[in-house]
Amino acid sequence: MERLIIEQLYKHKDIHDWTLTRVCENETQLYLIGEALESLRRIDSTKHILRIFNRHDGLVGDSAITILESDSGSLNDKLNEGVFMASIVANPPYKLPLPGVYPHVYIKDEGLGGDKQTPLVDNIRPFPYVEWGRSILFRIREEVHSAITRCGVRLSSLEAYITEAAIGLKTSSGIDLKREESVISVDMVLLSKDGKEESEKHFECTRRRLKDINLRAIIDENAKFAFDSLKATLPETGEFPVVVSRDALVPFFSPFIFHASGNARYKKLSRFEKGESVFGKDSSNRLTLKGSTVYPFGNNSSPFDEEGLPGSEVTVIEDGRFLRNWATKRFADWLGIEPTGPFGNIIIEPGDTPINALLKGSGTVYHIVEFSWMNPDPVTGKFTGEIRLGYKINGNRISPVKGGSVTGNVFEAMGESTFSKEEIFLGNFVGPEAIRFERLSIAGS
Amino acid sequence: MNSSVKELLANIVSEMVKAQAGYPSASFSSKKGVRISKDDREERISHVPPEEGIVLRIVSMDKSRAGSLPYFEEVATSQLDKEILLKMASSLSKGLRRNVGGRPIEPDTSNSKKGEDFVTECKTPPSKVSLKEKVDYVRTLHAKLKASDRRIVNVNVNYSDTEEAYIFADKDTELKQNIILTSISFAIFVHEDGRTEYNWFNRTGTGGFELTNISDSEIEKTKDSSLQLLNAERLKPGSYDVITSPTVSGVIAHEAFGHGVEADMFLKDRARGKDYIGKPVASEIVNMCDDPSIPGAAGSYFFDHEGKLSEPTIIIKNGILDSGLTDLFSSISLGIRRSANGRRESFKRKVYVRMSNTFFERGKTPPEEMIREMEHGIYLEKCESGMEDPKGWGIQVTAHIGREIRNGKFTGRVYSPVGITGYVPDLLKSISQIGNDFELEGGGCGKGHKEYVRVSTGGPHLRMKARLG
Repeated sequence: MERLIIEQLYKHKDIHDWTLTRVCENETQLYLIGEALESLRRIDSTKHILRIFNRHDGLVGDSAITILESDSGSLNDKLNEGVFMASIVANPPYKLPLPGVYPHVYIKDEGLGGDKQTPLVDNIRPFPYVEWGRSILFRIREEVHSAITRCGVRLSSLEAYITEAAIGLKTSSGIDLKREESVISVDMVLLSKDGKEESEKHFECTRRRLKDINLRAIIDENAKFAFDSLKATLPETGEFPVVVSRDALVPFFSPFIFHASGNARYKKLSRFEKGESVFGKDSSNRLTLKGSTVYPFGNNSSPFDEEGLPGSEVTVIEDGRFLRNWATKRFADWLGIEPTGPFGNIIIEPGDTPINALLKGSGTVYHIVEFSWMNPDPVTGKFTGEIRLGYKINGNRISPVKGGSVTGNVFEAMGESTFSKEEIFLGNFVGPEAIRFERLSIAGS
Repeated sequence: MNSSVKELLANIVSEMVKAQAGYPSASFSSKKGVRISKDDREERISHVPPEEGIVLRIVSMDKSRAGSLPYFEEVATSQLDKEILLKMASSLSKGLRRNVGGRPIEPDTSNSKKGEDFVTECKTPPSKVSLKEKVDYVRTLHAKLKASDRRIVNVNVNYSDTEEAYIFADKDTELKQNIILTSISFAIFVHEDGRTEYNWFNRTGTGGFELTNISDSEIEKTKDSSLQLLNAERLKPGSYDVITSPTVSGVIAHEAFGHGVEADMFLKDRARGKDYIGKPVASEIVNMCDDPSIPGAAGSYFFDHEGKLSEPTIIIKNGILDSGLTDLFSSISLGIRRSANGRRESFKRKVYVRMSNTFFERGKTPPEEMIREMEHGIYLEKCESGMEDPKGWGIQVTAHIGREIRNGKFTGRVYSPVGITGYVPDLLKSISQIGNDFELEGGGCGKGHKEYVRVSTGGPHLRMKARLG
C-alpha cells in the first residue's frame, strides 16, 4: 500500500510536498470485574496518515487525510480530495525539515519478548500470533491478586493493555525513518471496607516498560489511600498552604507549556516575555522547565516528530524566567526561530526541601494526593478541582480529607511555591515529587 | 461497500454459529468526515481521524478464578479482507469451543430485526455542501466575529461533519445505521490591561449543515460574556443559592446519576446507587432520563453497539432512583432490564455501559421567575468540566461563568471559574424549582479518563443550594 501511495504522490502535479506516516499497532487487552474475566481482546490495525502541501499565490495550503485498508481501490480519488482540500487553505509558507541526525531514544521494552518467530506482515504481527501479550497480561493478573490479598483490599476492576507499534515516516524532503515502541497500561480500582462503609481508590499507570510499573508498591500505596478515604471528612474553608504530590501535580504545568509554545506566541496568546518572570512578578521560585522527546522510556519520547525533526531536549523556562519557545517546524518558520519539535515529556528541576519539611507549618497544611479532575485553563491559568483524597496536617495530627475544592491561578500559585528535593518519574513527567503552594483557597465545611 | 460488509458479517457469524461458538456476533464501524478550523493566523483542514474496523465476539468461560464465569473474547482488526476475517473467526471459535459449556450470555433475540437500515435525517446533508462552501462559511463567520470588538485578540472557529456507519450482526439480527454529526464552535479571546480571557459557543448535533445557522444574538452574547470576564473576580468559597443554566444542569445530571447508574459500576461495586434503586435520592420534583432516541441530539443513535434498539430509560422518577443503564453483560449478570447503552469508542475498544442524551426533565417555573424570586445567589453558565464519583457520591462541576443576583436582578458582578462540589443527594434534594425551558448541549464523555464517546447533556434551569468555590 505504502509503495502505491508514494508512486501516486510523485505523479500528482499539484502535490508539491508531502509527509506519509504509517502506523501499525498490535494490542492485547484484559478486563477484570472483581477477579473474574469480563473481556479479553486482541486488536491489530494499520493506517496511513498523509499530509499534502499545495503552493498557490505565494501561500501554502495543507491537508491531512487518512488512508485506510479499504481505500486501496480509490487511492487517486483520495489524493485528489486531499489536493483540493489543500488548495483552498491559505497559510504563510513553511518548509518541511530536511533529513537530520537522529538520536537513539529508548521507547521499546525489549524485555517483553514478543513473538520473534512469526514473520512480520507490513511490520506487524497479525492477530493469531500475539499470545505473548496475553501471557504477560495473565501474569499481571496473578501479581495483582497476590498484592491485593496481602493488603486486605478487594479488587473492583482491572484493565491492562499491552501495545506494540511500528511507525514509519517518509517525506518529500527525503526523510525515511522507522521506530518501534511499546506501551503498557494498567488501570485499577481497589475497594476498602470498614463495617458498612466502603470506599474506593482508582489509579492508572502508563509506561513504556513493564519494569517501570511496580505493581506491588503501587497497590500498597493505593490500598492505604483506600482505607484512609473511609475516614476522610470535608476540609475547612479558607486559605491554606497546600502540598500537591505525584500525579496530582502534573496538570499544574500545562499552562506554562502552552504559553511557552510557538503556537501561543504566533497567535498572540502568550503572556511570556523573554527574560521576564513567568509568574507575572518577581518570585523566589526558581522554576526550570524543560521539554524532552529523548528522555529514556518517556511516554512522549520519540527519535523524530511527525514531520521528521530529530528528538531533542529544550529548556523553555530557567530560574523562573522565560528563555525561549518550543515550536514545531510550522510555527518556528512562521516566527523565524529554531524549531524544537513537540514539547514531549515535562522535565522540572527539583528543589532542595525534603517533602517532610514541606508538610510542616505553624498552622494547618493540606496535602492533596488526588483531585477528582484537575485541568487548569491553559490561557488564564485559573483552576478549581475537587479533592478526591488529601490530608489535613496540623503539627503531629494528620487526618484524611475529601470533598470540597481547591481554587487558584497556577501563575500566581507557582510563584509562591516550593519544590521538593525528592524526584519522581511518572511516565511523561520527571521532577519534584511534591510542591507546596503557600496560599490556595479551599471551599469545604 | 456497506452492503458487502453486511453480507460479510452475516457469513462470519454463520461460520461461528456452525463452529458452536457461544453467542457469536460481528460488527463493523467506520467514521469519516472533515474538519475545518480558522483563527486569526492559521487555517487548517483535515479528515476527522477516521476509524474503520471489524470486531468478532464470542462468549467463553473463565475457569481460572472465582468459579466458572462467562466473559467476552474479541478480536478486532482494520483488515477487511474476507479470507483473513474468516480465518480469524475460525481461530477464535476453535480456541474457545474447548472451554464453552453452553451459552451463558445470550440475549433474547426473538424480536430482533433483520435488514433494518437507519440514517440520520438532515435538512441539508453535509455531503451536499461543497468543501469550498464550508471553508467560505468558516471564513465569513471568523471575519464577522473578529470585527465585532477591538479588544478581540484572536477568534478560533471550528467546523466538522462526521458520518459514523455501524453494522451489527448476530444469528437473528442484522442492523445498519449511518449517523451524521455536525458541529460548529467558536472561541473569542479578548485582551485588556494585561489580562486575557475567552468565552465560547458550541452547537453539536445529529443533523446536517442546517446546524451551522448561528443567530446574531448568540454571537453577541458570547462576545459580551468574553468581555465581562475581563473583570471577573474569584468567588468567596461557601454555600450559595444557585440557579444553573441548562448546560450546567445537564452536566450535574450526567455526573450525579448518569455515571452513577451505569450498571457495570454496580457489578464493580463502584456505585452506591445500586443499593438505592427504589429509594429517594433527589427532591420529589426531580425527573431524570437517558434517551438515545431523541432526533437531532448529539448523543443519539438508532441502536447501540450490541444491536439493542434505542429507547429511553427513566433514571429518577419523582425523586426516586428508578433504574440503571445497562449493556448486555451487565444486564444479564445483574438480571436487570437491558437498555440500549452498550457503546464502544471505536473498534479498538470494548463495549462499556455509556450514557447517550442525559437530562433533567422540564418543570413548570419560567427561568425569569426563578431569577426574580432570588434574593442573593449565583447564576451559573457554561460548563468547563465535570467529574463523577459514584462510590462516594461526590460531584465536581466547573462553570466558566458565575453571575451575582441580588434582589431578583443581575448586579453585573462576574466570577470565573466557579466550582460546584458536594454530596450528590444533598445537592439534588436541594432542588426547589425547575424551569419550564429545555436545552441539550452536545459534547464528549469519558469513562474515568478515557473511552470518549459523543453524548449530550441538558435540561431546564434549576434552582438549588450548592457549595461553590
